[in-house]
Amino acid sequence: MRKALAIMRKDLKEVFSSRQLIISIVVPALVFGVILPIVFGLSFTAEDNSTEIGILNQTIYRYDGVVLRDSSEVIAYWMMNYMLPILLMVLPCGITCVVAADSIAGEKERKTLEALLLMPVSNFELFIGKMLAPFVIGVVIASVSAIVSMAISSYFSISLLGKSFLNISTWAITILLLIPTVAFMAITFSVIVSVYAKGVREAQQMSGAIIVPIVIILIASATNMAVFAGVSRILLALLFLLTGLIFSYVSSKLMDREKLILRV
Amino acid sequence: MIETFDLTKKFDGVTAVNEVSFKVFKGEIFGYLGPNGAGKTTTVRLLSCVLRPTSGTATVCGYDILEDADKIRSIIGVLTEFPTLYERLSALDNLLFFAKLYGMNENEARRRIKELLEFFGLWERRRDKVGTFSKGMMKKLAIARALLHDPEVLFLDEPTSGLDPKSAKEIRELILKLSKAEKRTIFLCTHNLFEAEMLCNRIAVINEGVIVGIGEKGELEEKLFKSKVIEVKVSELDERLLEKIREITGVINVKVKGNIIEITVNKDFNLHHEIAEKVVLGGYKLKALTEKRHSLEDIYMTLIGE
Repeated sequence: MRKALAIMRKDLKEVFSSRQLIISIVVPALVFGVILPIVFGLSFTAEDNSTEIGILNQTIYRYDGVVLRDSSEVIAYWMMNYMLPILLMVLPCGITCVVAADSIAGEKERKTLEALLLMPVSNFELFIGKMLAPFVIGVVIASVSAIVSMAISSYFSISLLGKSFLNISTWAITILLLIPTVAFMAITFSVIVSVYAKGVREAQQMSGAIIVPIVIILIASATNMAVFAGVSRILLALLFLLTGLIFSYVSSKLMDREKLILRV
Repeated sequence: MIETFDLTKKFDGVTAVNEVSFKVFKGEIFGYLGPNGAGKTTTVRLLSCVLRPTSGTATVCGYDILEDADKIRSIIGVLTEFPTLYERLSALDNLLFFAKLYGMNENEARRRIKELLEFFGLWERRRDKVGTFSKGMMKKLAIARALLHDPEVLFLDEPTSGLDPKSAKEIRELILKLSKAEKRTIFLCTHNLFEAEMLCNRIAVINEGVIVGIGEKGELEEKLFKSKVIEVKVSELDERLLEKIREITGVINVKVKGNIIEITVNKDFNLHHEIAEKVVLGGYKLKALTEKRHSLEDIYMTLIGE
């Protein structure tokens, strides 16, 4: 594992010495972690329940065991605990794909891969080493963005609605299960794509294909709060993990010196 | 140190290396020559365990390329034709990274890196990104990387291509030093016949995947050419002298270039003495008599059928 970690550290250094890559990581993180929760937060508006009729006609909603008094609270709850975490899933997927493309297809494009293949490193260490940096960056950036977005949306919900509707367990599942499994699935898919791609741009374009089904699955689930409740999120995480394991089996077979060198 | 046994590599029906067999001895500089696409790089990739042979095998330092790939990669140093360095990283970070992959500890790696960078005159630039280096500096850094772990065998692919004459000379001197003083075995792939002639103890010429000639330059010359050329420099000459020379048994052809007579003779005849006698006894003043050797270029061109 020492050699795999050395590859990871080298990849991290390379990523953070490229202004273009830093921008590709920071901009989406700011959009999804800061701007999006602010936009959502500004849309939180309190419903006027002060009239007698309003009180009489008031309906009580209950989601995830949380009692919500009116539609504005329902919307705030849905945005904070369903839409926001779902949209944040683009980050572990997108960032991981961008970094992985640079790490594998980029080495082919810059003709540095051969030097790496000549080192006394096993195919397994090479495979793990090449997956680590994109995975770590994807998970860390997405998790930090998730925590920041939780803080921002809580601030708006307390300011405008009087209390925070943040469901900690929902967010815990998102950060601890969904983000890592989505990143894992994305990196294993990116390895497959990067082996075949001729350059970084081609690898990024091809890897981007995986974002679409993930977003469709998640948004489809999120539109129905009952479907995307706690247990469903765990099942989704398991689905992503399983898909990632299948991809990793395929990509580990492709992470073979001869296959890599002949595609340079 | 290196031995191949009918080493063969095919790609989609195309035979890149075809039943190649040779031996490279410890401390020797073995030149591997051939035109583009002849199979040189494929051979190096097979011997450095990046490619697997279709059939046949090879050993490097006694280790089999099929069984002990990781071990072989840890005891060889390879300089690829292009420097293949991480241009976004500094020279120091590049070498530290590769040292870790070679399993060197931090202190040992830093000591060795300092030694190599000082030798190549790059120590002052160690913290600069490799992307800012000149082609020559990159090549030197790539050679430093190949030498990091003190490899027993070095594979050098076009080590001086793209270098200015001074840097190229330094690299050639280094190669000679590594072979003579440190007894490293060097497998040198090059197009530069001058370099091969100057450095190599033995050469192999590969063409279309097949070894078409192998041995010391003299041996190849001996095998390939049925004749040799003796050059006679005289103060003055005339047709009578040329006629006398033509009459000598074993002389194939006589040509004149100024006051030099180029005599092509059958290689099995030793005619130096007889020719000198004809010149001197004929009353001509003999200034020099030398046997002209075939150049490596002549040998190479003959071997690849040009």
